[in-house]
Amino acid sequence: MARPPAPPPKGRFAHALSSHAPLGCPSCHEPRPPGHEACVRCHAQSFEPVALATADRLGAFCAGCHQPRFVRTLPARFSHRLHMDRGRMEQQVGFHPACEDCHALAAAAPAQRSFATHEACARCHEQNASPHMTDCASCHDPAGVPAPVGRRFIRADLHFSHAAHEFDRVGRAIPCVGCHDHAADARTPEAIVAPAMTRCTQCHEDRRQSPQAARMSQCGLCHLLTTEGLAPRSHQLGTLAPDDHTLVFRRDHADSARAAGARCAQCHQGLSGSVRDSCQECHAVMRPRDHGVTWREQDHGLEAAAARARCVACHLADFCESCHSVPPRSHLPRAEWAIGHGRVARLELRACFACHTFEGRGSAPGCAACHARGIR
Amino acid sequence: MSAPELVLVLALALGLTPPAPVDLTVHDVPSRPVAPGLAMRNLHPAASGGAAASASAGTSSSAPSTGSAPNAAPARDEASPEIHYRFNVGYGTDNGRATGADAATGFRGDPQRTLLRTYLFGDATFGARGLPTPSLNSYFAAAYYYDFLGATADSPFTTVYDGAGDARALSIRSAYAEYDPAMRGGLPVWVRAGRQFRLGAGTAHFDGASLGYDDRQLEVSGFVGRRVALYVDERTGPLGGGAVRVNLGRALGVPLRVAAEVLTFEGDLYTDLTVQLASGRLSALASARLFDQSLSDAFVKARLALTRRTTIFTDLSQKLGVAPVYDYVSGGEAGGLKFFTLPDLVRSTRARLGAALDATSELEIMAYGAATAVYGTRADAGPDRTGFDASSVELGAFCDLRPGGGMSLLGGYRVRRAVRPPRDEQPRLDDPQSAGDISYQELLADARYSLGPRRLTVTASGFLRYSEMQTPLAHPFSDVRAGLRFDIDTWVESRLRLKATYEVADPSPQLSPDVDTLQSVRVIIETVF
Repeated sequence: MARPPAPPPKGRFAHALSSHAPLGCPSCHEPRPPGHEACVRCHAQSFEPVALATADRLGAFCAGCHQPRFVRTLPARFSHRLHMDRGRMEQQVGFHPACEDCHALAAAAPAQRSFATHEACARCHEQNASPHMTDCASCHDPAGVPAPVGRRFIRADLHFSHAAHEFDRVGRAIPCVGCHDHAADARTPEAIVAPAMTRCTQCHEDRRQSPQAARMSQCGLCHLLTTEGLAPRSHQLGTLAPDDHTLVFRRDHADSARAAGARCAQCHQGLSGSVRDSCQECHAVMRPRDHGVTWREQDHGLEAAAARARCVACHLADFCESCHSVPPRSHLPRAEWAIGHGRVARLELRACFACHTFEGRGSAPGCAACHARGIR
Repeated sequence: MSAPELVLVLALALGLTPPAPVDLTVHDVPSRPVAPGLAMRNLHPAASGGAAASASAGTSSSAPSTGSAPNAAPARDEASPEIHYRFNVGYGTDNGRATGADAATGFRGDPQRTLLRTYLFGDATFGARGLPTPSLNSYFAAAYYYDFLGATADSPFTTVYDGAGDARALSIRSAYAEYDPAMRGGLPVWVRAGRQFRLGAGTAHFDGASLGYDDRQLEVSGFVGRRVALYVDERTGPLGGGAVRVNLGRALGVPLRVAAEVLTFEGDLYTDLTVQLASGRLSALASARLFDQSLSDAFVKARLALTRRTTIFTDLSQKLGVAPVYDYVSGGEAGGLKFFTLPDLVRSTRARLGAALDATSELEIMAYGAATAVYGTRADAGPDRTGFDASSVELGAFCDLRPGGGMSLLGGYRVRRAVRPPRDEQPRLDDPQSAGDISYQELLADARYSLGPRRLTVTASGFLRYSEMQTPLAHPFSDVRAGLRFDIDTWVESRLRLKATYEVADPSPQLSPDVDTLQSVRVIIETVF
């Protein structure tokens, strides 16, 4: 006996097929969703028991609905940006919708938030908002919408609960835009991309927001099949820099570090974790890689001369003065320095003027004391 | 007075125009309508009933959906307090080889002399959140350095602690307690007392108290205390200041923030004014620094994401006057520094323009060009300009490759050419602006392999630096330095970390002919909780 086909996944019907397009939406979508009875009107022979019994697998006709296709019928003309425009919405319908007004927790799978259904749209578009619900083409492109390409979920292995992400560890509400930060600006469905994994990592590796049992190292928390092994880089914080720590970020990270909710302390341990301490504490314990073994005696002067602002990020003026208050080793033995200093000055006169002036200043003698008439 | 009222009062006090009246009425989402002609809505009563229940259960447009989560997080009272500490013990040893050649001064050094320097170093931090009472945080951070042999005057391995005589120091950087009820959902007012840093118009490190109001729209804070002197600058006079930051995004509909920060120390007043724009693709910041009400610095920077893969950035800084005392470039008489006479750059312009391309998700390339023009005079006595403030042009490019599998490769090259007057036929000591580097090139590479967070990371890096120098007293000569560095960072177990670094580099053969093969080994054991 033939196995009855599973209900068709949403959006795999070939709306754009030339023979379907002229029919008009109501011919099938009254009632909705159309069941087999809508198809039977024209394709009765394909539903004959004989035809179904002899099919050892889904035939071409069945596969029209019951196999993945490249074209979906997601709304082609839906703008999150427009619907999240609070002022405009309040003018038009008297209130502004929140994310959960359309993306409710699904009744069939309470842990999941549903795609917006026609019911959600109808709350406004059945009444005073345009387009009206009967104007199908205002949202649905008859030619279909190309399925987004790029990042895709591992459907068979991944499970995610929106309901479990309503609040963080200490009870703070997690806003939708915390993960779907681009959704509110999306003008089309295709512009919506799934949240990057770094979003997950930032919270799940933050002990203030997630318990130990929810760390990214707990593969089974999200994956059904992949329960152990090395986490890919996108899942990592810690010894490897997060994906958003690009070269540009490293240059301009001060803005991020000062921002509310900065999470530098997750990886850069030893910090208080307060954005009020963002800069000094980090720069006090982390040494740039170019501060190597030759840095103090030879390299830092060139850099300080070229880009002093970089020094200021970590050092106060008296830090510099602490070293410069001690005669460098080139001045030793001090008794003979008066004889030998000229050779050093010939090579690096600029270094002399880090502590000395030509005229002399304070306890540091100047050149003019002896060289007022020039040099030999 | 409630928090919103306080915000409104402060906003009015600051002269801000209140935003247009907002409809604060809690509206209900229209219930599922009777939809003639769309009988589909009744087809799945369970589903539609659930959705309708969800919609009508109070997920109103202006109320957070806090009531429908089946497994909502524990109540705030159940949030456990946290203690974290880090303590590390580092042992380092630096050494070099005495070549037996004459020093740059022409003196013959002792080829048998000891260049070894061996020391303990590390830091300790301790933080607590919610202890002993909710909303109370505390933080302590200190660094220590102990040189077994004491300061050595002829060592090529100088430290900032040598000025203290024995090269041994314990520096308490932070030690404060903070009451912050906002972290428990209370008023966004905080108070902090103890040793703390404050970054604003200048970097203030002080023993004192801070008080602030801080929500998403408005930050107001003030502080007062006595300066902390960790090094040779022993001034410990009173200082104070404050800051106001306002987020105008809601009022103007533009993601704009403005800030004003002040710091006063020893009768001087430093002010920093900032305007910051941060939209999705554009980030821009303009700031001005004032010293005793005279403009000393202006700074503008911007970053624009042209596409998802391309970012351009630029910055422009203009120096117009004497900088605040906490600025490195203050120096001179104005800063009261006794030994360090790096001259003030009174007037200069520095501009930079660059771009970064995320060629693929594994490869990022960044290139930039920068130019510095110095056309001012020094504020203090001395030659009009010195070799430290030459105009220059710089180009650089960096490449970050992340091929996966835990590998990360970083390479970079930059070249800088200084604009200096040619040497006079008759060399003059009072013409030091012609002394310094004519050109400078640096090539660096960094390869990193990691098994993952808190496991094992191994890094190897190297550099090559080449510069051409000139002084009024000598013909141009070249200087080459090169070095290698290896790092291992591994977690022995979940709370114990071991880090080791080995460096080897050759110093300048021109300036340090008496030593070569400088080496350094550092081992750090760190415990974290």
